[in-house]
Amino acid sequence: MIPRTLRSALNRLFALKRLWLIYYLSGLVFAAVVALPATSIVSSYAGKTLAAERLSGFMDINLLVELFHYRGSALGALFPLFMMITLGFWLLMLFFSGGTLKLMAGDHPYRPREFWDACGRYFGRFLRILLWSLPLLALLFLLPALADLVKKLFWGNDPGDNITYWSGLIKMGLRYLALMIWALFFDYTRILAVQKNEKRTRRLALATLQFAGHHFGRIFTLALLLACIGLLGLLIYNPVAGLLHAPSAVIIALLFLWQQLYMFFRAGLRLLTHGSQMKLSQGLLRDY
Amino acid sequence: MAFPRTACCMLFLAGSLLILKTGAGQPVLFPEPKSPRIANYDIDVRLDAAARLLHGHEILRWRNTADHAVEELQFHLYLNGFRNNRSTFMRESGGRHRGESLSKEGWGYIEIDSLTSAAGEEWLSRTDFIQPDDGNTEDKTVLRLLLPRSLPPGETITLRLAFTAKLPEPPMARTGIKKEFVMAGQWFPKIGVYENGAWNCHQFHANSEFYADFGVYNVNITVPRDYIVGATGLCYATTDNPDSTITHRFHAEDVHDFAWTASPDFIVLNGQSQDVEIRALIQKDHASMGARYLKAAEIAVAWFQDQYGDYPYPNLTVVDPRRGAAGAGGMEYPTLITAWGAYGMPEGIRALEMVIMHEFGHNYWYHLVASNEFEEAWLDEGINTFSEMQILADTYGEAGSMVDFRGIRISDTQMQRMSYISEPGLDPILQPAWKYYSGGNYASMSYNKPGLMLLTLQNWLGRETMNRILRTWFERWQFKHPRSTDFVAVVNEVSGQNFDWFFDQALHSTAVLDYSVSLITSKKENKGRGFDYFSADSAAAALPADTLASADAGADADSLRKDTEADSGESALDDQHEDKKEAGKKEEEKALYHSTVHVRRLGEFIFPVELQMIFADGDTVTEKWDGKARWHKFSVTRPSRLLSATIDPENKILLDVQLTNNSRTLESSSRGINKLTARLLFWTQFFLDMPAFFNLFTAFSPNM
Repeated sequence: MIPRTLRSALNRLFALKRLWLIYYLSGLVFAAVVALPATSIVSSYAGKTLAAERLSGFMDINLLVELFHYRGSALGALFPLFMMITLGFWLLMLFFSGGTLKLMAGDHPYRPREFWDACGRYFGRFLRILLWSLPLLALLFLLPALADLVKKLFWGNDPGDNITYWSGLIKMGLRYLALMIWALFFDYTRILAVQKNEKRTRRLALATLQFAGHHFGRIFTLALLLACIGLLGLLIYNPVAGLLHAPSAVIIALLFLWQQLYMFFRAGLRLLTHGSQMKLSQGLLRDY
Repeated sequence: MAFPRTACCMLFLAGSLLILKTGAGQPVLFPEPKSPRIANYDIDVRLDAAARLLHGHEILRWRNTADHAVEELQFHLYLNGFRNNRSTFMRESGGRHRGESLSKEGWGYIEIDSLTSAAGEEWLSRTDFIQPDDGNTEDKTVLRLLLPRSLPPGETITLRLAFTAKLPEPPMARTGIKKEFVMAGQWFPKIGVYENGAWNCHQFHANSEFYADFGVYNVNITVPRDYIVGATGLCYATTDNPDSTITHRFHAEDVHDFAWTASPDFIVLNGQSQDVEIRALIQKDHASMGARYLKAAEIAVAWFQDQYGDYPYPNLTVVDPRRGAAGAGGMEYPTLITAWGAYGMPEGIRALEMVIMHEFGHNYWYHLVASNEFEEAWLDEGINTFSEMQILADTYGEAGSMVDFRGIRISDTQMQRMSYISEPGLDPILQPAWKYYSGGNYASMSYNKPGLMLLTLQNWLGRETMNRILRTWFERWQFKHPRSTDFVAVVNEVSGQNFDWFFDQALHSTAVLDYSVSLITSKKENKGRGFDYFSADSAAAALPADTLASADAGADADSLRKDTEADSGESALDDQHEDKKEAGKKEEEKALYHSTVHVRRLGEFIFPVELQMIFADGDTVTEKWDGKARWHKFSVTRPSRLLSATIDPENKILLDVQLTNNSRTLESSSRGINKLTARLLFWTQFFLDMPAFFNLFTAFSPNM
């Protein structure tokens, strides 16, 4: 079922190429709002120096240190902007997800009106779902505390540094697991909201818990598979990016293209996630 | 909380007998004394781990090396720094030292239970606490004994002391106890240094280390039988006692301090580096890191011996402090150093190695060359920081000497600069350790700035000369108490140059060093105009033939229009006429550029600098400037445009607080800024995208 789901989601992704572009460009524009002023601060401090020239190779630690020391206040002023952009981008993605899920649920090509209409229609509901999911997230975040409990049970109040180190790694893994489960809950509640056109959040939440509980194996397998695709992308990206460090204009342009290609891939992966989850839930609900 | 007097006396007598009994059989390390052996101690100490107490008996033999009689003796009682919140140490530190603070009941102290002369005269009543540094009457870290009769020059006085010491918990400022782990530093009554007709015996301060005279130590340490012990010197015997304790007998010659550690949880790793045996006492839970501790110590011993001279002792003990006892870490004692527990730290981050190499270095610059750390901390910490940068660079390569992890490479020198530039002009290097603006500034002025100062000097003189300087310093001043002036004298002597101007600024002043290239221009030389530069067309008839030729050659131009184009820096090529193009090219080749570079001294520190100018044809011109004026203008006329100018192009002057402004280019570096933009854009995109993927792969970050 999972391969069939992925295949069908991939078909939708390629049918909705314009959507893919919208996702990618949104990230690029939001990032540019932060990155360009930051670059301008560096440029005003060191633009006409050899230190800036050296930036065409590796990062210059001396420049970085001096930049924070001598232009700390200017860089600090960027922080609120960065926070606002982050929040804005997250909300935008939430906004887009309504339209995306709606388009993914169908089998027709991209229709702008349908997309924007669904974006607006579901945004309020999704925001409520997000707020309702936060207690679940808090609950799931107790999961890492289990590692502390086990540590205390076996090693008392004074565990060795080796125990603390390994339990720290396990806790980190559990935190990821908690986030993953929460993300699954959040994703599938939104999917059910679109599929069932249900407005009451409590009902949706219960339906999702029921659905997820019943099909947890498949849902989780799909999530892991998507994670593996993401990891594979990273494994391909990293070594090539590592090679593109020479200070020549051509190599810098190639690096930029490669970075953007990777971000384009991630935008596609985000859409693939939405699409495959929608297709999976459609299939499962049909069988169910 | 004084130990009962009678019990003290009985323990004291028993202890004295024990020392006498075991006095024989001690090994002789150095047939000829290497030091003056002014302060010699026989100590018998028993650990009561549950109560955090040390019960000790000490016989001190102190020789008056002054040329006059001494009327009083002064002792350090360092542990009284932890006695209450009103000691000078606690007031200065605010109760926190290197991030550690005492537990609620963790106060420490040292009490003298009895003090008698060799003949048994009771002298405790002749003592009082003094506060030579700050007059804080609640500070009890310096004890004065008024002698009933003066001690003539050359005479030795013998004192018998019984004392009880409570170690702070957890360890703080290099000493203390945490559960079963004991790190006993500054744990016994220690006599000050009598020099220049006065006692040099400072109170215990938050920002200072120690100063003492050399001597011979015989120390018997009694601990529970399952405890493993490490200490200054050599353990030459152990005795099992009927009360399930064991006594370890240590002997150390020509040292000026004695520290020891004990724990049942140590794993012992043995190693060898050249002629030095290394014993690493590693915590059980750090066992998998043990090899790194040992390896770092082996590298350190070999490197220091090769660079500076012989480490005369046969052994070195490396102590790995217990978890929760970080306050005991990163400290040096004669032949014993404490490391830093860093379980799980990746090998590319060399903090663990750095601490061991640094602490071993102190055996050269604090121990053998016994400078006064209260008053001239840089002579130890600064020289040692310089050595630390060298050994790390030699061992791991300069670029990633401190961090070489996941593509990030940071050198130790860069780390030192990072700390130094944060507040470079508040204090001079040379001042008593407790008088700095803050603990951070003490560190900056005692470690970072002197380290960078010496590296700057090395870059000036060359490594070979610098090595000769430090070798001479080490050979001439080991087992002595040199001052900063002695160091400067060695530098001047070995280098054959007078560096007083440099040290006057670097050591005694708060002057900050910052040179910059503030402006560069490069313009095509204007064609000559006016009376001496008539064009051929207009003046050929009016001027003699030889003048015309010279004017042609000099002016290199024949029309006002072309002059104007040249002034604006634009090319004079005319695309429509090939012949004019050719002529223009030729003219371009012959054109001269007048380039200027303005350099400025932004700080008060004066240092001669080099200026390197790079031209478009690849030529490089280097000029020198004595750096004395506030600014200086360099002018050059060459057949090529100036591309960039750099002060100190080889980054020799590491005291310069701003390296970025050392260079200036005629045009902005679009490549560098473009790459930075691409990077920042990508990082931000990646960060913004993260929350959508609370999946496993977000744990792996992309290569930036």
